[in-house]
Amino acid sequence: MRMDDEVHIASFIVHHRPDALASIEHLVAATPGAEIAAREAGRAILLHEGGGTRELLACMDAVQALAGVVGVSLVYHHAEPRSALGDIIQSSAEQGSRL
Amino acid sequence: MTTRRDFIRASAVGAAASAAGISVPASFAETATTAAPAGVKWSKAPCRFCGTGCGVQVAVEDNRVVATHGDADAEVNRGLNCVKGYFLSKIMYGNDRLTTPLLRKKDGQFAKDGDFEPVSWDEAFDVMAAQFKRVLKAKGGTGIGMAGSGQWTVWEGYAANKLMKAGFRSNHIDPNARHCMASAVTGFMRTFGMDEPMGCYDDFEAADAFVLWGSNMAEMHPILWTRVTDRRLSHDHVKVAVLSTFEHRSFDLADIPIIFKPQTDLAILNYIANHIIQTGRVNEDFVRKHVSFKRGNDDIGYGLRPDNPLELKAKNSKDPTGSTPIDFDAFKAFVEPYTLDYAAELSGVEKGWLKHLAELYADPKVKVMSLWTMGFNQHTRGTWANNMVYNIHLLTGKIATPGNSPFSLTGQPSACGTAREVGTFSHRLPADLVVTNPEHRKHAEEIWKLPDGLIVDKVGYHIVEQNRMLKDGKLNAYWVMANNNMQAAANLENEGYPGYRNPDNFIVVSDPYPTVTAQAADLILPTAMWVEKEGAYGNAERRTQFWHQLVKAPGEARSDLWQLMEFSKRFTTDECWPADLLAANPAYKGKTLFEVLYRNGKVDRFAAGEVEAGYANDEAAAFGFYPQKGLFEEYAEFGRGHGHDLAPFDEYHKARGLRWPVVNGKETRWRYKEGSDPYVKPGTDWQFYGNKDGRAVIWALPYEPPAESPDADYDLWLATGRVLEHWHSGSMTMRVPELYKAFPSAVVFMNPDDAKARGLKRGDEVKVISRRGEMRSRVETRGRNRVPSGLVFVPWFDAAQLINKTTLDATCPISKQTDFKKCAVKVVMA
Amino acid sequence: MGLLTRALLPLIVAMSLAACGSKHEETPRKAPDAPVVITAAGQIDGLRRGVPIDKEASPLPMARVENFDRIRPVNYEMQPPTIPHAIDNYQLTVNTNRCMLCHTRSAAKKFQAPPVSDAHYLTRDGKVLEQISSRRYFCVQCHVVQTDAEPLVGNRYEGLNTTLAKEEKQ
Repeated sequence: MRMDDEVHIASFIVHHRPDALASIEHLVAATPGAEIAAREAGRAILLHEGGGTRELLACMDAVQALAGVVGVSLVYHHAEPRSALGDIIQSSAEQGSRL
Repeated sequence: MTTRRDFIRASAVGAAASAAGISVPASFAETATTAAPAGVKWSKAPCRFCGTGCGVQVAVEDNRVVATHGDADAEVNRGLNCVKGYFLSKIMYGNDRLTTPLLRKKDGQFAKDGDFEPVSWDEAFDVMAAQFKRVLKAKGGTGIGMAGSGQWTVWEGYAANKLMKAGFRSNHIDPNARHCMASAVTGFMRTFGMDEPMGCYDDFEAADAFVLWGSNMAEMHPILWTRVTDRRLSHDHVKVAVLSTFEHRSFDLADIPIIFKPQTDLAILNYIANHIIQTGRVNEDFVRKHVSFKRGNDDIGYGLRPDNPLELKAKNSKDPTGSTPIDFDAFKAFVEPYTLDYAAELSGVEKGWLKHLAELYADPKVKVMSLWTMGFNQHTRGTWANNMVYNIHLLTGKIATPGNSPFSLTGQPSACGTAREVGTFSHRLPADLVVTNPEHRKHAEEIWKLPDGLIVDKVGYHIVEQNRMLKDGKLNAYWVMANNNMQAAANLENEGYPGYRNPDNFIVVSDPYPTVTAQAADLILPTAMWVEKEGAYGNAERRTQFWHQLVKAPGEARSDLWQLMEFSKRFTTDECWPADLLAANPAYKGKTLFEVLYRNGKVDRFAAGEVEAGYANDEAAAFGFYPQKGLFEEYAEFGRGHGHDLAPFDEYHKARGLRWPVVNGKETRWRYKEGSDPYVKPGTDWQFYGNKDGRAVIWALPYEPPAESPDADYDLWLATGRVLEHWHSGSMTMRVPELYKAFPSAVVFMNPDDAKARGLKRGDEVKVISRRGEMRSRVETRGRNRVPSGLVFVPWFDAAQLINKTTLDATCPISKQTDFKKCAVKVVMA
Repeated sequence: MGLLTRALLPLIVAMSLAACGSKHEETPRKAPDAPVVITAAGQIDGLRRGVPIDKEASPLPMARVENFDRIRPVNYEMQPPTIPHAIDNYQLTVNTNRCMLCHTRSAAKKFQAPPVSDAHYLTRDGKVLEQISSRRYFCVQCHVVQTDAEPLVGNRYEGLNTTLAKEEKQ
């Protein structure tokens, strides 16, 4: 399978000084596939969707490079074929617990 | 409608939110909870190790724990873990996890001298039930015993307590917590009439001084130590005093470092009381309103076998708990001989340090937190040491307010929650009730819906006595759960091993791993651990914490709860209870123990379907009801309205733990103090309501020498203890490669001069020999512990180096807790 | 910061750590094989190396601390890395912190040491500090050295099965 058939979905935590939020928002707005999923004092969760690892790391590096960003840590990273992503999935009640 | 893409995005956000301790935005939360789990799922749980009770987040993928980290939302640790906690994810995956029952067999039959062979659960329980019935028939419940644990979950301890005390009518159930904090319990009961600390961890951020009495928190309670360190380093006025019989890592933070001669902490405590009185710093108003005075019996022996010469010689070995009421003046006169000179002479500590220490307590402006664990509790006068530290807090009124806190730390994750609150001790019932009180027994029988007069009125064998009774053939069917007592108990070769191998006895050990204790057993039952089952622990600050089952146990391994309940199906009341009791209560005739203990209309009243969606529960699946919830709610009846109030079951799955008493949905941080404890009567200011008169007791107790001291033949003190990287007997941490490689073997920490005098150098193989036995180890003259001349320190985590072959099974005669810190040995080249 | 330090790294068993170490120029000396004197049948506790409970065997030789300054991978994000060098005689007291001499952010480059992670600058209340938070002051509560002792019992833990991890392996 070629990499460009896949969609990569990832999330990471950004620790930052309060005054850095504006520049993070600005950067995210300018980055295709990135969005701020949650924010709280000094912390934000960024959700990134793109074509591969390289793109994801570029986004993380760009955020890290912003003044006032204390740290960036990747938490979740998943990739699968674009074709599978449109599937409708069952609710847990229908499917039952996998555990 | 949810697409797979929506779902993965929601999972990504959920995972990050959980890791960061941020709440999941509503737009994502809905998808994450309604869609089927895929990828990694994070859930909360308390750490599996010590009594600190840190919160962790556990990541599960494909029925495996793949990662853990400190829970940012957990008040106890706010995102931090110690090195053991950071490697929690590996404790369940040691290559030698037990996955099937193992029975000693020869020619296809059970044989005491056979070798272990895998058997089915059916065969295991058949043989086990036949052996238990043999003993029941011959002796009744008194031939049956159980060694439990402060590592049992709350409901496992509760189910075991019912099975033993009501089902088999045997009070010979006792937890390994006996070795750990029994002296703290008796200390609390004698001073306050009620168990467990009045303060809480919030005291760490409020105190001006910390005094460690026999506790190496830097290694044994590292996360609480981060709170002490944080307070000390960010506030210049804060002082830390560390007392021990040797220098360890906690001394790195000490402003007042004190190395005292073993046992003389008693004299130092009385000196401080004397200093407070002599310098006129008694809080007279507090003492007048809230304190009473007693003089305790002295010369109480050493908890050895009754025919030991030391016991025969002791005046009060038969009445160690006796006391007479006295007044303040009598107490003042009692401690007057404990002058600075006398304390310094006895303890070998410089007077300047002792005075500094005493001033921390005497100065009314300094808020003091006293902290202790095994140094106090594992002490032949452990109960006294606990009473005596309360003395100095009570004389000054430094108690139950933020930062003023005598605080007993615990070593096991549920020493408080299970061993103490559930009352799995041989003398106890839940919520501080005791088997010797007829009203307490009746109350328990009512809650349990069992016949009046069922519970036996005599105190059962405590865990040290259990080993003695196994050896003597009085205890013949014995079930060991969630502990490694063969490695943990003192005097292994004389009082431990012989009882397990006594041909009259049948020994069952339930454990996830093949421990030393399992090796000594006749039947080994493979056990589910930690997040392989739904659980609850109670930490040292009265915080009850729950977790869900997150993965399945390997192979045939089953939880202790399943084992206890399933085994109870094999017995009927007619086999276990006396005929006259059944004749008077015919409704119970012919019922199985399972029916009367767990199918009683209370334990089984919650449906299996009530288990939170998205989580498995193997016990609910097996029994057809939600046993954890039923057991918890029945148990909670004991404490609600009596100062031990627990919140409703479901609340604990939501909160990061709650500190009891939980009244009207609010936890209690400082007990006995008006304004923070709802049980204190308005207008009383303080009320020690565990005692009928509302007063705490100051005890007049003397210094007395230890059971054994070094002499010409055995010329060194031996203190045993722990290291940071291993938890207790090492059965979990020795199987985590990083923790093993950090500290792979026990060593004998020795003073370089003592080594030189014996012709020894670092790394030499030596024998540590006592009057009871010997073990082989290697000399360590460097490293993290610096011992004074005349003392050696040996950690006991190493199964290959059983230091308890040398230790003495002397206990505090009141608490029955072994003194693992003092006996006499010699060290020679091997 | 490279991919390695940030990604969720897989680590199958610690054996691979030892193997990784042995490739380096300064190979730690391996302890000789255990001089177990007794091996009896029916012994199940791997930690006792086949020695019955009532017997005593010669203890394993003292293990040596691995001291070759190669950063070992971690199993997952937020696990503290182990210390890849000896820390004998390091002072860690109220007044002196030998570890932070090299590992503090400002000095790390100069000493070619990895700086402590950003989380170390957060207080208990989540405030960001210029200096390392005092709650993280005693480094050895989380970071430990590794000796050359071979584990007596292996471990089957497997890490996160992430895409990055798979790519790393390829």
